[in-house]
Amino acid sequence: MSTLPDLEILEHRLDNGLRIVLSPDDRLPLVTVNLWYHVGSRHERPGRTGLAHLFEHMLFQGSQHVGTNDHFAHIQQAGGVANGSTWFDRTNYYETLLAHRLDLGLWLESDRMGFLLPALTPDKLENQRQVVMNERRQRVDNQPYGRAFERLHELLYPLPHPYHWPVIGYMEDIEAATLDDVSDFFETYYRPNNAVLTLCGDFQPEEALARVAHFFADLPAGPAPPASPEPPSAESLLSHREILEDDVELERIYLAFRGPAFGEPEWYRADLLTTALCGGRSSPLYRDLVEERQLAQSLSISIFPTELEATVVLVATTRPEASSTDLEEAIWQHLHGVAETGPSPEDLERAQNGTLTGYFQGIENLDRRADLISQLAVFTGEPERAVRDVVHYAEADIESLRRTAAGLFRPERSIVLTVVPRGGAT
Amino acid sequence: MSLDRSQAPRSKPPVDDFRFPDFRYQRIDDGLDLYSARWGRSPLVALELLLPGGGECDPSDRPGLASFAASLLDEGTERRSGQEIALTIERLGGSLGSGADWNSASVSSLCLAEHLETALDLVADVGLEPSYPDAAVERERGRRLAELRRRRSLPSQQADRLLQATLYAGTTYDHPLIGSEEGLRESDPATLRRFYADQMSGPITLIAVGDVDEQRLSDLVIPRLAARRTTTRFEPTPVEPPADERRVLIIDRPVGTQTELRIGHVGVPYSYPDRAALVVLTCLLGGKFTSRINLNLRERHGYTYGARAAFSTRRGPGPFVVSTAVETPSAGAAAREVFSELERIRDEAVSPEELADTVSYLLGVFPYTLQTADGIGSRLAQIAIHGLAHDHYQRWPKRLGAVTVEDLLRVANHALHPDQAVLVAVGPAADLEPQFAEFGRVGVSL
Repeated sequence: MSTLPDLEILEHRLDNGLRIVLSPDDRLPLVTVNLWYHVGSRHERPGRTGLAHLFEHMLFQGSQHVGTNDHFAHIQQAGGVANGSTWFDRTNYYETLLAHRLDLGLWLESDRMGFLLPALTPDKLENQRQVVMNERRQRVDNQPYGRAFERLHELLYPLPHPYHWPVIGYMEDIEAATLDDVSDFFETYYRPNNAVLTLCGDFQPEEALARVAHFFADLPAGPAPPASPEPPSAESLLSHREILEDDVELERIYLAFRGPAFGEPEWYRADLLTTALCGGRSSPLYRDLVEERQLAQSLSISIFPTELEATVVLVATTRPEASSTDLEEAIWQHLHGVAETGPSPEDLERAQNGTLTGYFQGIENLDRRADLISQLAVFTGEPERAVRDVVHYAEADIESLRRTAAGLFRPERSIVLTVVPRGGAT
Repeated sequence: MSLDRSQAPRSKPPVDDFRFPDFRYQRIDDGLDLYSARWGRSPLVALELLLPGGGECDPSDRPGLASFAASLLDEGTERRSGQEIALTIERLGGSLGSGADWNSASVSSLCLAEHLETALDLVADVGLEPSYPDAAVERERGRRLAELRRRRSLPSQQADRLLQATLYAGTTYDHPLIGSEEGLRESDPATLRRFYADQMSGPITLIAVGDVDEQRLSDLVIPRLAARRTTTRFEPTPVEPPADERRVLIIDRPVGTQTELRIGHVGVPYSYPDRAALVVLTCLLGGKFTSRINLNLRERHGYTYGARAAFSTRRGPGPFVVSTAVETPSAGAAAREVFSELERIRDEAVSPEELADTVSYLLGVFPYTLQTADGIGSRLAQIAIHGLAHDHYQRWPKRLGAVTVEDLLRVANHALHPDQAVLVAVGPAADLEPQFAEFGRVGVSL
């Protein structure tokens, strides 16, 4: 294995509980300000789904000292890029700026962390509600296969599991959200003690830390957010099959399992296993199903880096002339095979090397590096694992991956969702 | 002591002036150019081999042939099967792929620096000696036919396809790169080999960026790629589509909750002399989040999740397109806003502040796009493909900074033609037809 990069990762905590992680890199005159809040769709309740994401939109609508559309205007005038995203367990915000504009990013983030409510108005909520409803139409309702992941999660995580509902929320819930919901959400979760701020790029650590303290130190800590109830265990899941009709041309199979939580050594083994099975053209699933038997048009497996447990999902689009029954059967043969014997030495080597290259590519990009660091800080409390954890991939062997596969790919704990053209569910 | 937060922090002086990284250029022989740059902190190298034969070379009776031929480069050579190629590179942790855009075909690879020699072996083999094995051709054809079928169910693809077919009828840009069912069925292994020989065997360019030693790179590249190419360049016939009158085309999709909207016309070639002003204009109008069109449709009216406008970067005059997806009852109102933004930017000079903000944005994001080896590599590819001066990217910030308000007005009037725009909408025709009548002749297809 090639030497790991000597990324410097420094940690600090302000008195108000804000955790700060610094990773200096002077290759380009850029700095990224990356702020993760430990709140996502799983902290919502049924009837108010989509609130975390709608709230993320509201954070771009100005705060006490920043005008309504001025967040992006400030950033773009300074030649920066900015965005945010919401997922099951967390919400993140970042701006990547020319290094000498670090203060601008810190000012914007601290203003909306400390002073959002005075700027919250019914008009802004109404406007962003419309934008989010259009986002849902564009990504889910008006998109072939767009409902599949939503339905898959409903089946894979029966209520009261908080991964049951979609991150973007159900249309009627987006319509129902009130200004009080939004401000309560802010008061409960948007506190320095529920966040991690990571800076990556061209700065002197002591100086950068002083600038962070300058903007954030006077923001008050809040009470710890309420503890989430223990979700139902993966062992309570019963296998289920379902057919979903949609405006599509080709049938598509979603085969899903519940796997280990992100950050556990077992998560890295499961991640490596997915690459061994299906990463690249020379992987056994791709070679057999796409190239040789030509049952699949496309094929991928992914594992989510989520906090409570990971969704592992294999998505296979059926070739027009093939049958999805044959395709599914062939996929199961591979999954049973790897659970019995583990991956071949060649597939293990390919997966290990490919994962390492992917890791190097990821840390070359400041935004992606900062996200990795913040993610480990928020979920495990150990940001320096952004350098260390990659060894879990190197240490895996055939037998350990065999055990991972046997634990993961159990038909009695699986969900199979098949999307078919309208009129095809016979 | 409380902090005064009322003003945005003022800019400190820049830490240093950003310069596009130095790179090395060598003309190895008449058939081979080599560009290289050391870049990054990871032990990775990004390779790209550019070949002639982009989508602009598609024969009129076989749309999609260029993309088909380029994607098959890595599916088998005289010496190796497609599977051997994939296995060799992937076992080393690398990747290799091939494809075409409108301007060129390419083979690209990413590898750990210690495996550069193997990666170059494969890139050279794939780029110079593809064999188009029968089985691989059949498989890829089947995959592409299925992909075409999949796209038929995507409203965004339907909209793009109809707009291109309308604007570019009878020219080489009249279809998407993937082509058509008929074009794919007409392309057998012999046709593909002939296309390679006629269109793709001209001069090539290799670009290597990352953890590379430049001497070692030349030593490895020369025996593999030099003196292997014909020096003839095949120039495709330029596209000259006629100007159109403004009209509206609707594809009826009664089921959706949203309408895909395109407003476009024939644009300008990459070589447009006022390129810096064009880039600033497009960014201000519909390129950045705070662009006029996005702020209008999304933030002011809430009609959409997003809207953008862009000129495509092709050697010939590719399309200028405004793209968005809007809630169906607001489709007419959204189109009216787009047209009014297109007219406004032609009629009124933008304010110096709006110009300055846009230039500042473009200057700042320039280094942002150069973080990775392939980011640098794609700029070097632009230099090679469009024959740009070698100091083009070193001078680019200065050129952006020199754009004036008058330049924008001139370019807007020269390059934007709302009166000739074609509006394409994919959505429920019964709801859309009355909303679009004001924009021109309306045609509906099923």
